[in-house]
Amino acid sequence: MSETAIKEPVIYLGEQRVKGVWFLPVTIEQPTIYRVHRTQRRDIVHVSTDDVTRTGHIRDALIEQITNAKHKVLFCSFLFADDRIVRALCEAAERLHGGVYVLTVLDKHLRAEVLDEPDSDVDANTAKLQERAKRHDEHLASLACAGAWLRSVEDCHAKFCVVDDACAIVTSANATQEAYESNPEDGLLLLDKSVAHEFGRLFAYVWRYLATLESVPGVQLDVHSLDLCAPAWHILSGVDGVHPVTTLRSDEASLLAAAIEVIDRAQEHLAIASYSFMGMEHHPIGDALARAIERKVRIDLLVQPRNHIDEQRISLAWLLDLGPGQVRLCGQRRTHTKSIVADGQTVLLWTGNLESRHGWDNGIEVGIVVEDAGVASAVSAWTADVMQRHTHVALNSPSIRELVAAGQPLALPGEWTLSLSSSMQTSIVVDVLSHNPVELLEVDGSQVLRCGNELLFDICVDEVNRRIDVVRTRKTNLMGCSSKGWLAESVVRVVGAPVRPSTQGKLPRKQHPQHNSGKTR
Amino acid sequence: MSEPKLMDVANLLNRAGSTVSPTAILAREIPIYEIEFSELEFAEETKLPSSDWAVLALARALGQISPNDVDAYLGLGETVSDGLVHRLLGSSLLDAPGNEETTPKLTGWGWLTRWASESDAHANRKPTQASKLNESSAAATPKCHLSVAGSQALERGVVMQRRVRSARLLFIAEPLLFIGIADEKKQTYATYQRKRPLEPGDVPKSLHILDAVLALRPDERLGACGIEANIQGISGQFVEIVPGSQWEVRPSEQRIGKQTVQKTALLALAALPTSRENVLDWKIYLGLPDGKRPRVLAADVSRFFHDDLGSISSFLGTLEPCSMLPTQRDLREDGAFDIRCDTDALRMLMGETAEPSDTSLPVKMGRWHGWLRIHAAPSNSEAGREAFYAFLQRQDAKLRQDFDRTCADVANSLNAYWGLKLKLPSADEASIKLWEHAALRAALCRRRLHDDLVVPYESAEVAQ
Repeated sequence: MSETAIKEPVIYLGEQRVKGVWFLPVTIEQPTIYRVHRTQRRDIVHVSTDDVTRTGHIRDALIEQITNAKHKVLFCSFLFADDRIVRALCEAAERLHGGVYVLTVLDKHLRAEVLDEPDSDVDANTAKLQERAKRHDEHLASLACAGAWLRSVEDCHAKFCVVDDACAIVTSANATQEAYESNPEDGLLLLDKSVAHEFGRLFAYVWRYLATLESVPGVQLDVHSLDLCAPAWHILSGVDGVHPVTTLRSDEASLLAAAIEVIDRAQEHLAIASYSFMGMEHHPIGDALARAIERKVRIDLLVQPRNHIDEQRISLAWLLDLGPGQVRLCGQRRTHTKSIVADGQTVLLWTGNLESRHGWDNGIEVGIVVEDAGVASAVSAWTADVMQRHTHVALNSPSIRELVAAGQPLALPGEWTLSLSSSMQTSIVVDVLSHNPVELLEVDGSQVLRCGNELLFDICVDEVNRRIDVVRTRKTNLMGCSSKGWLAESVVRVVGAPVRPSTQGKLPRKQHPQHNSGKTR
Repeated sequence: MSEPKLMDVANLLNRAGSTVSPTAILAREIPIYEIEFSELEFAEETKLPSSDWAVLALARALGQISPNDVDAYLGLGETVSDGLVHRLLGSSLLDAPGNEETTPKLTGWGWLTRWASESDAHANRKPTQASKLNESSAAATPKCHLSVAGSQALERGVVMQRRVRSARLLFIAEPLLFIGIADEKKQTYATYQRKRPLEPGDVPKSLHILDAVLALRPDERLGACGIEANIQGISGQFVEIVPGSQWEVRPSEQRIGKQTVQKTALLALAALPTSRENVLDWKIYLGLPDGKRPRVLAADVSRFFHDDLGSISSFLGTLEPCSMLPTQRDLREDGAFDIRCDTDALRMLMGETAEPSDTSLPVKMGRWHGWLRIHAAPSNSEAGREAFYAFLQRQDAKLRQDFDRTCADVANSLNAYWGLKLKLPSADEASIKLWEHAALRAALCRRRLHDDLVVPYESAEVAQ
């Protein structure tokens, strides 16, 4: 054994960087003005949620059309958690003696993960989501009793309504009170009969042939299975610069083509809004964005600031890295709006998100492409207003010191001894701590150290002795956790578990010599 | 007693084999009584003992015997011979006419002597080649000859023996009718748990004559109380109740839940139409508890009523008044009463079947609950329309398949049943009227599905 004392490694925490884009809440109060944006057209009206005063303009537009329906109403929303819209549909069914057809989520198709919660940190199992699911069921029962005919298609994420094949509304908003009053949502009211007819045709096809669950009108909700056989689908057609588009599983991908085309049209500016942005770096839409950046197109991107989704952070960072200075990224904590506007001339408004895995070659989404400056400008201006009301700013791969400097809380400053459990290899821990940002979390009353995406420790902090004991590594996900701050000004001495004395008189295992400096950054 | 249900009465008639729908039914629940008899006399066959056989055979051979002959020819000894002859005289297997001491008693075996053909009272001694075994000093009297019973016993090798038993029999009192024996197992274990018998004042009047009824000849007894030669469940032939023996009456009971209630039988009188004008033909059915097979009673309906129920008019006249009571003139050839109804009355008389059919009008006659078979038809178009909607509501499955056709079918079947040609609502009218029934909305929505989601887009599909 060497006579030289083996030094325990010391790690200086602060310069390690968070991978990808990290959103920080703004500290300065943002303007809270809501404006209506007119399209200058009578046949296409831009509608949006006034989340400032909680006024449901989208809902009002829907209810007005439903109330004036003379023959039939086709309504697609995978959730029904708004009393007023349900009441309007019920009244229409009673008045028309049927003629109200609904595509929604029934029974087993309703899973916690499809409850699209705008608040990024909320666990799918919170009471709020359960309450929403309960309201959804109650509303469906009311609809069935009133004479609405309900069917369910598991992967249908679209949100649209067609009345009398004379008007259609395509919107980002689900039929929930939150969407109609609290979230930035928008949509287009289309009063062209041929366009409405096409959306009606799409609805009828999905409803007649792709549904797998059904509840016919009756005294109560009574869900049973369907086994339908689908004939060939004829793709949507548009007219006069207004083009309905869709992702209809593998039968039509005009939505993808439209998104790429709109992006490719941009020469100067793209205004893009999406709830999420994930996996685009390996996607044709991402390729189109890359091409736009090459053409020096400026991109304004509005998303929800979901820091806990690594894939989004990486994807956003990829975009920012493609065009430093060309891409302006804003986070709005409740935004759900989805649109792409090219040069204020052409707009795609649709019901999906910029996620590579959903809604482009699978599932069911709808959208509308309008080649009209008035409409495009209205949507673009709406997106700009929401971006003005942004709640978060984006930092690309910030160091944790920069995060703390920007206002994130500081945790465990100063010198500490990090004592590992016997099952841990000191060298691995040292390596992870040296290269990853370290965050202190609280999960179910316990304290957890998160080291990037690499390690999670359950810890016990002894403030008096300046000691952090690692109890165990943690493998479960951290939904429901709250951040207690970043270890941006911490010096951590890592101490391995003591070697057990041999009872057999054997020589202890050889220790590898530590680095001379004992310091890592 | 509870009010009988029409469904139970209908089941009774079906199980009893009735295939014709009666014009009228009267029914009531009647209580069942358990009567415990201490001494009932039965006749059972037993094998003829060999000694008896020998004596009877000797009597047949000699024509006339005495104890002396028995001892002389059979060598049984004076005492045994004398005892045998007297015993056989007492059993009426031998006769000794003219001898007062040996006149057969009319009780006990009385029916055998009363109703059997007369024996040969003056049989003469026959010559025989049989030789005496000894010279006997036994008595030469009484001189006996073989009786008819003795001859039969000799032929068959068996002799009827008298047995006296106790038994617990079940009866209904109105009419007086034996319906079975109480469960033997329950009799065995219930000995110490018997309820007190009814006081004489509480015993139904028809049971007071049981002694006389049970003493009747079998054929007369059958008509009086339903007991013939045998009582099912007790071996041997029933002879009579031992005169002067005791019997006790108790209600026959059963436990239902925590309560003990008296068992009842369901008595139903069904009037069938005849080809004769104003005449009803009544049949009487008895439904018994515990799954016993129902009976058709060969009794006259006049046993139950003072009034003449044989004519339709008098029968209807005995019923308690009600608003829709038909008259004799309303009786159709098929045995139902034709009643024309307004909306409310037709709603009550439509029944609950999916297709129009005769229904029942409840009536009452004293303690009897009754039903008249009714052929209800609307008296005006409004009643017809309401009936049409009511029957449509019963056809949800067919409406979902083909709404318009079902409307037409229902209209046709109603008019056919009523014998009318009413103009009933169209399918379009029905689709508006039936919307108020949430349970039928699936059918109504299915009707319009084609127009809503198929027709508007067919041309677009084809064009592409």
